[in-house]
Amino acid sequence: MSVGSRDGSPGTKILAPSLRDRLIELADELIPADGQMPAASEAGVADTQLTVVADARPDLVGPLRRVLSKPGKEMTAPEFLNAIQSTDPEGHEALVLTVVGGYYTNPHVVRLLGYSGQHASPVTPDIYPSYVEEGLLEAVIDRGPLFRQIPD
Amino acid sequence: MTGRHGAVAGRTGPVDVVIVGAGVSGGVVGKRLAEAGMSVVCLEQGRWHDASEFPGQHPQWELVMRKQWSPNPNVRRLPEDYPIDSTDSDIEPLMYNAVGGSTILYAADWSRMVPADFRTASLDGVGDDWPLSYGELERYYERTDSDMGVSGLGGNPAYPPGTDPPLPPLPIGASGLAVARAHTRLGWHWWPGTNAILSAPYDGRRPCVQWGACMQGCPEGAKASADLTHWTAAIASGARVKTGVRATRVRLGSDGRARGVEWTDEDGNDGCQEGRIVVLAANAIGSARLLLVSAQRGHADGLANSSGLVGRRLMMHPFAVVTGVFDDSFETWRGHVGCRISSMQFYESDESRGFLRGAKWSMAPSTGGPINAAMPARAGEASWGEDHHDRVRSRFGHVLSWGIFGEDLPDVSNRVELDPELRDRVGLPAPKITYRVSANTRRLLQFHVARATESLVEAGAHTIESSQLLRESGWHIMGTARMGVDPTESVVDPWGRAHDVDNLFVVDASIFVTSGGVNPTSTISALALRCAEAILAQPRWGRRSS
Repeated sequence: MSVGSRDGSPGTKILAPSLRDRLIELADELIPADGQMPAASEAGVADTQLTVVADARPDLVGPLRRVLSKPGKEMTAPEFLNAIQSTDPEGHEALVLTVVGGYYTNPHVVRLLGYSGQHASPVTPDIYPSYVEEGLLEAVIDRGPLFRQIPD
Repeated sequence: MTGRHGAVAGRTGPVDVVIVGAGVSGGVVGKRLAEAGMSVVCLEQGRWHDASEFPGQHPQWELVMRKQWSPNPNVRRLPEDYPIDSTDSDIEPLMYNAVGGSTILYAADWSRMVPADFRTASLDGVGDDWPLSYGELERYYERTDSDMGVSGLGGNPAYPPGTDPPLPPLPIGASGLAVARAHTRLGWHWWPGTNAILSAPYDGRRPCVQWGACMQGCPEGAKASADLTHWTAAIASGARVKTGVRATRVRLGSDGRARGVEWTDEDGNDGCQEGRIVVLAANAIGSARLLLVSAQRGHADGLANSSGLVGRRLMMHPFAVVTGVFDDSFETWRGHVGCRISSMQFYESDESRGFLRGAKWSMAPSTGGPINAAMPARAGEASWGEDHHDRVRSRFGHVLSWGIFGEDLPDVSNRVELDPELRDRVGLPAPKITYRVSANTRRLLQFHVARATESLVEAGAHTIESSQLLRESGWHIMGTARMGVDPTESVVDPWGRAHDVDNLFVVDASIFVTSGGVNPTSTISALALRCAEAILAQPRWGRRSS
């Protein structure tokens, strides 16, 4: 995991160093560290994971650059995020999805969450399901038809 | 020239039947007529998909589902899509353009309408009666259940007795069981979900492997989509599908009958596919749009529009979601999306509730992966900063949702028109939709959200989050070329044939008279099959071209 701007980061292929620094600042405001869970920057949302997101969603890069280029250094990160949510909702969405998308596709993060990812696991129809055993369907049937009888 | 999947390029000679749109209604008609020996060409603006393209098997699936695989064509903006002006609509229309149509991305919740849905005027004094009954449609429901490979359990007291679905139900899981027990305590109806998703091998297709990503295309081919269930068989019987072509106009002959369909392809080539019968199956926005752009001599206000109802009575099933947050994890990122259990407890109309008509509830087992837990697409809000991790931990795998489709009564002011300015990539006017949710529907959804909240609280939810009217929910597009007996009050007859042009058929959900309160694809398919049988029953339309 990596923190801070440095030349050669995969993230600098997507964002200029100054924009990448801004992304780190805002990303950690959105997703700070908590217990075992790393902060967004520690999970690489401005590094390798940024390239993962940009590969999947190249359409996000333009609005992301735009929102990171906006003036607002005098504001706190929460103030800036609130401001762009109302003034540039598309840019805000791009920023948030870049951070969330990078964070929750990081293999270490998903392991910590207990998420095994989407995978094939054949379904097995119940031969004698619990709801039959417990009489749950019987109760429904015993109440009789729900539909209105209409002459054809 | 015929290529992969029976795709056909360039110009083809006259055929018996030209179909516009390779979604489920076009597939049902194409398969039946091709199997009966008629020559069929289908014009489809999209393309074939291979299951390996579907994103559910890739880690970035929750990113691309919000763009490239979005059901909203205005978000997706693929070359095969056309823009829709929805600025005057309460709901975004959703669809997919491909061989298979919107069944590529649908949930496959396979519900029938009930007998009373066909008689809303007689019974409840609202909407209009259909010119057919549940009993008349039942055998077509059963045949399409068989074609799709439907999994479910017979004997549901919400419906008249009938033939059981061909496959056993998919498991309801711990989540379904928790809610079923709650409904037993409440004395409320519930039933295992009926899904067009295989619970066992069927017709050469493999069963569900629980990718949990049905709405981004089934990587296993277990979900019934019309490319798999109908077009493959249609092509085996000689049908041809011309992909990447956009129908631009229905051409009439000097005798006033449909002569064929004009088209433009991706390279700017154009032509006219001639046929003895023209079938529109492009969904209730696309078919209405094509009729409107086909205005010509004798049809100044749009083809087959002497009633003035083409594009009118648009219905889109306003949708509410009620989500319960539980202490237990149900691993809700796994399973099928369609419907784990359903409830029709409050489906039938009861005026004492303060509104007319009702809604079906479907509980979807899969509510996405961690990105959706962090940024819920349905009910619930994102949370940032110090609360973020608690929020995601408490939601991811721990939420169950009731999806509530309320009956949407027809209103002539809800409509599809041609946009005066917006054009698609070939210069054709884009559709503009005007759609407002009625006061009756808002009261209906309010009532159902309150009852669904009781359901989930009884099942053990410690927190409830709801969305009373989801904007991104216009999956079910219906009613813009309604069927009927009276040509002054309907666009097509009870078999989908245009009153004004006797060899022009509309077979998609445009022809719905009312919407019911259930997912419509089962009814769309059954009606399309009934229309196909009506075509075959007419000796003058029997096989001729080759």
